[in-house]
Amino acid sequence: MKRLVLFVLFAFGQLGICQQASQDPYAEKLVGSFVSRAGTPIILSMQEKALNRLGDRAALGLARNMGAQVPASPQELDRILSVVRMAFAVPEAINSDVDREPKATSMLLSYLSLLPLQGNAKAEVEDTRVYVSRQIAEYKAKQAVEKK
Amino acid sequence: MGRQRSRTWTTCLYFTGGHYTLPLHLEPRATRNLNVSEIIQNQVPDAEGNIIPAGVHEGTAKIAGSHADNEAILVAIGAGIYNVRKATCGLVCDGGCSGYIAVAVEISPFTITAGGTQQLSLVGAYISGGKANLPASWSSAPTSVATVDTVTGLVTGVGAGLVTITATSLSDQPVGIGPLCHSEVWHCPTAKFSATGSGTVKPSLTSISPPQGLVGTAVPITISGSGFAQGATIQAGTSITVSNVSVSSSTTITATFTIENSPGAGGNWNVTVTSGGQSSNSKGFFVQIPSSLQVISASILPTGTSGGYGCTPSANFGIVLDLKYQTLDQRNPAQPISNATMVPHETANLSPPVDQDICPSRVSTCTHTTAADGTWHDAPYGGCAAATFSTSYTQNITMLVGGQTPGYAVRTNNITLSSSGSGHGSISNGSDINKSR
Repeated sequence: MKRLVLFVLFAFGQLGICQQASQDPYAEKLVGSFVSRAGTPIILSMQEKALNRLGDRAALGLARNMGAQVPASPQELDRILSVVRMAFAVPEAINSDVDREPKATSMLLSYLSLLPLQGNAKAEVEDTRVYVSRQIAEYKAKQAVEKK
Repeated sequence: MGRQRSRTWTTCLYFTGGHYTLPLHLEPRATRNLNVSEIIQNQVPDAEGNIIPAGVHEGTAKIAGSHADNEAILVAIGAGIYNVRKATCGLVCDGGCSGYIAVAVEISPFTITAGGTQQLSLVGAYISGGKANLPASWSSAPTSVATVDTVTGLVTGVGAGLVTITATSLSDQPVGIGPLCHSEVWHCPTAKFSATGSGTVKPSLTSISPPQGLVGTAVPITISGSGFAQGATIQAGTSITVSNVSVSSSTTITATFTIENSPGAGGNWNVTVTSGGQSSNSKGFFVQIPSSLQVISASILPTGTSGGYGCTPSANFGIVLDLKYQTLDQRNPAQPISNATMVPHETANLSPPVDQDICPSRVSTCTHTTAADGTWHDAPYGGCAAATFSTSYTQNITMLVGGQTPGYAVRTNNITLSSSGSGHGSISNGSDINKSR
């Protein structure tokens, strides 16, 4: 009987983790918490690590979080770009090779650059695109050296 | 009288109610008279303080060498008779052979370990009830189990199993028989004696390397000892599956211990080796359960640029640490656990909830590879913002072993994190994590 109870608890434990991933595969809640924070957004290291592991999935989460909305303010755009940067800040920490290819990220940045943004917002978007490209290029170069 | 050298004999006079001992020195072929009447009359105590009461008129006399039964003597007795009232034999002799009536190998059965020794003796039992060691020649069978020194009887264990030891007395020994009455000089009969003994040689276990392993892992181990033979098996307890047993030599066995991944597997397990049908002594193998994390150091990561380590210049409120932990087991005092398959995992009551492996991260020290001393880094640790803030949350750390969840709970940090200005921050768990900048 004791074994059965433990097994059931274990099975539920597993289910909980699986549910978390399957119900939010693009970490929409996580990226949304960074973008939509009122007041002073605090970047906790634990959440930053989670973003670092998303890679291209962060762009999908951002797209799903934004929906048809456009960034309401320069601050919101900054937060979106900050999330993109954090998602590619540590390419070796990204969970899957697929997410190291910034395909959705490129589409998101292209979409943002087409918006009627004020000030140097377009330049920030472009800087972010360059940053992501450089991060991935450096990672690939590093990997190539390690393979040799 | 006696053999060709002087001897000191002991004459013991027995009577109803006591005895009296009288040393008697004799040169070879010499003759001594023993006047019992004079002894009784003088009332001089012997070495033990005994006297023969004046009223004693009847008794027996026994003559023995200084080595008691373990000495063959040839003696002729001429009875000097003074006022004899009663005699139980003829005029010449009344005696017997105080020789051996049985022999045995002692100690038998015996138990030794391979490489160990045991001194054996061929012991003769006298008709008088006394015992003495006999010089003997020794042999063993099979010699693959134990050898014996042919002269001394010292047995040395070679391999696990059963052994038979045979001892044969080196010379003819007098045989003990009952009272003899002869009218002439007589000799005790003699014979050579043999006896066998049996022994068990057990395998010996001296060490297990490593002496401990992490729960839920497969640990290659080397057992050192003696008396190991092909076909040897290892017993290690219900929570440890033993596989890949290989007898490298009579002194070394290698194997793999696969430890069950459950809290019940933790603790000390007795390990024994069975070889040649014999079980060895046991040695402990300790199964470690990750039980706690000790903070070794907490370093403040300096402010960096984008992708740097600490807070960024644009969000320089708060504090970020590089925490160095040491994973400890359940013992008291706790011992470090070093195992590369152990994965630190964290959950936190943030929104959304955090449920992830602690490493890797943007800080290169953060890896799952545990150092030899069981240390690893949780970095970055803290938080930053672009303005003053204060927040609190609870972080629970578990150690995942073999990818199995839930892991083993090792620590809870109730964190308070705040900043009162640019370039400032403080973080505390109220106990061993307290840092400010």
